[in-house]
Amino acid sequence: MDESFRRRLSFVSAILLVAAALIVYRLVSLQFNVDTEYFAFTALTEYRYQVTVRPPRGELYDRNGVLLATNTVDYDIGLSPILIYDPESTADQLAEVTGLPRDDLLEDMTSQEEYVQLIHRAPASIGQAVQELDLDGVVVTPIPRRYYPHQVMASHILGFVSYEDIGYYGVEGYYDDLLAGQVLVDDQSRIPFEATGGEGWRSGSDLYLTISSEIQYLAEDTLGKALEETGAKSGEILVLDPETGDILAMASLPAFDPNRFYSQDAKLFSNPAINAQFEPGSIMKVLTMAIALDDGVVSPDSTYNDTGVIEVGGIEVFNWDRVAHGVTTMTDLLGKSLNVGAATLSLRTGPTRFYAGLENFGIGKLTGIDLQGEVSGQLRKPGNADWHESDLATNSFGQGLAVTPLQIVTAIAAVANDGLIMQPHIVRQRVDPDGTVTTFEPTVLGRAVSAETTQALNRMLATALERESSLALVPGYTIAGKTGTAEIPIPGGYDPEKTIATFVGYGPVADPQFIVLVKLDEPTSSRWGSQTAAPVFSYFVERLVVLMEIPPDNPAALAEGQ
Amino acid sequence: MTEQQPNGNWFRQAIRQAPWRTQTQASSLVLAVVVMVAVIGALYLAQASRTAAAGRRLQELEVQREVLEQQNEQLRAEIAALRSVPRLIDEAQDLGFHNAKQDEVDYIVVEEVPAALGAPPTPVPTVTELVPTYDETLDGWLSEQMAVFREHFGLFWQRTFGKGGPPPDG
Repeated sequence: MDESFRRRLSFVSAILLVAAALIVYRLVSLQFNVDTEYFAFTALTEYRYQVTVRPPRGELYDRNGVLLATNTVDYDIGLSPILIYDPESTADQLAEVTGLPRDDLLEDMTSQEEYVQLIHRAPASIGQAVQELDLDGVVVTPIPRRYYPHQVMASHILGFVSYEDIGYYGVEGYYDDLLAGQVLVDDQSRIPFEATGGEGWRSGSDLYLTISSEIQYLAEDTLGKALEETGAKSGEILVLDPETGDILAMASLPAFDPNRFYSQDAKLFSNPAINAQFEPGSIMKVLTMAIALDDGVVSPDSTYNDTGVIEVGGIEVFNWDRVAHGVTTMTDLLGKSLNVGAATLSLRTGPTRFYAGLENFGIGKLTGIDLQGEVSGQLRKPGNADWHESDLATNSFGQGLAVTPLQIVTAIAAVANDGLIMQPHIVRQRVDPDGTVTTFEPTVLGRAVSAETTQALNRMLATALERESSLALVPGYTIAGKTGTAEIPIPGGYDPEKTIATFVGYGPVADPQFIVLVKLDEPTSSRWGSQTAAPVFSYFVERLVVLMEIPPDNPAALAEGQ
Repeated sequence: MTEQQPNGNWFRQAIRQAPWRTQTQASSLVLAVVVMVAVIGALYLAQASRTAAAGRRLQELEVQREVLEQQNEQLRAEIAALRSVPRLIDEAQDLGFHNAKQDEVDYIVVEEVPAALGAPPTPVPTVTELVPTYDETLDGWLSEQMAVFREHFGLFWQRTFGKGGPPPDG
């Protein structure tokens, strides 16, 4: 063989060998990540993407397992025009399912934009139908949404969840972290070889509330009718189990639809039952009497001479009817709702013991309810710069201080519960994603008055209602309660026309299973609680006892139709 | 005529490897290496293919799960809306029912039967068992195959030679 040919052959062979070696090296380095820096960076930018996995938000149920808040999905529907190969067919199918004009769709498909949005937050029926068409270039993006199947019902209790998945107001706001679960921000790869299940997120916990959807509906229905009949502009009905502090219903009107929070008046979002302060008026006399009885200042058999007016700190206090009632029993003081009598009691009790008693009932303090936005009310006490001697008298019949509806009903519930003041709460049970069930047990906040005091007061309140033939009476049931007509403070005094009419009552007196507060703001049919709130209470409780399956404790009265 | 004398070199001559034999051995060695590399490559490729296929399947299942969860949520929401109190009351009224009044209710008090608003029933949670993470490697797969082989071989040994069996691992 020619020597020159041999050399050339060897040279070419060497070159090919080197080339082959380089290729093998590259294959090995690519396959086994020997040279990773550049390719890792390229992979990160080209093949990896970041996703935020929002776990399903915990659901809300009532005490009987009725679903109150759940999750659903809306869909954003859009086009990537460059990926559409058959515009005519795509437009035909899309137009049929979405109802969008075919010509508009065809025009969108000729757009030079990378993405054209067709529908923002389409309902699931449309979104899923488009998804099933599986059309090239049509992008269907699911967007989670909170859904409240009962719409307006219990909206102030539940609150709402924004499009950013943040809970506001009510339970949604208070328990937002618990309900939201653990969000996962995850790097994911488009390469199947590196696919992972995206582990690491945690669903939100489910919450079982203390409310009963049936009682809540009854309360809202009753309140709606009451507003219509009395001309009141707003109102609340609260129902509690005095023994446990369970809130069975908390109705406030006007309400809002949490499904459409974005279009609602933001002023409606606050829950007036926990953050609307008002001067409670005569329902406060229940607490004044309880404090006086408990301190031994008076007994159920005590009397006082009602002169129709009493001067305290330079201010004259009159009865609502401006009449002197003479020698009056404690029961008649309550039945006739006499301001002079209440002021007499607070004066006899003295400021130190009177205000300590109010604080024991939780007046001026947060109840600690597990709802977002509670306020504490206002109670001026001796030692405060703005406290005046006359406050001792006016506070005794519910003027010159402010409470929330929940605060006053919680305080009076202590009278129905042997003097023990219970923590009002709205969440009964929590179920974590791992199946752990946590039950929130009733919590005693303290003792307001003795059991003997409450037993005496229960009898007095029940007797007072019967003596006055109150419109709040419920045939077949012994009810203890008190009306209230609170004047509305305005700069320089009180509004001469407008009032807040209230009635708070509980029953059956021997073993109270419910306490109900009815509050009507600025009724026009009558300014008095005894004529507006009291009959609403009776109407409501007649139906409530059926729902709660409470048999009559006075069947004879039921037979007589009393 | 001369007689051929036995030569001492004939044996060495006989056993000396012919050039073709040396070449064959070298070729065989190269071929064995190539085959081994090919087998390892094939195993690795098979493993990689399986992993990729599983990954792709996982991605498809993820998408499918997401769609099913969305449909499930939608159905739950629809059921909840159909079971809402206002709707049920409307339906009941359409059917001629009305809310029970006090004089239409007869109570039979039975001791130790909880009232309607007793403690709510404890919910029964449903905990989904998660599928274990797919983490098979080539080493793991080979070890698994070896373990299966040893097990089968052990059984074969026992059946064929009775008690005893091959020495244990290690």
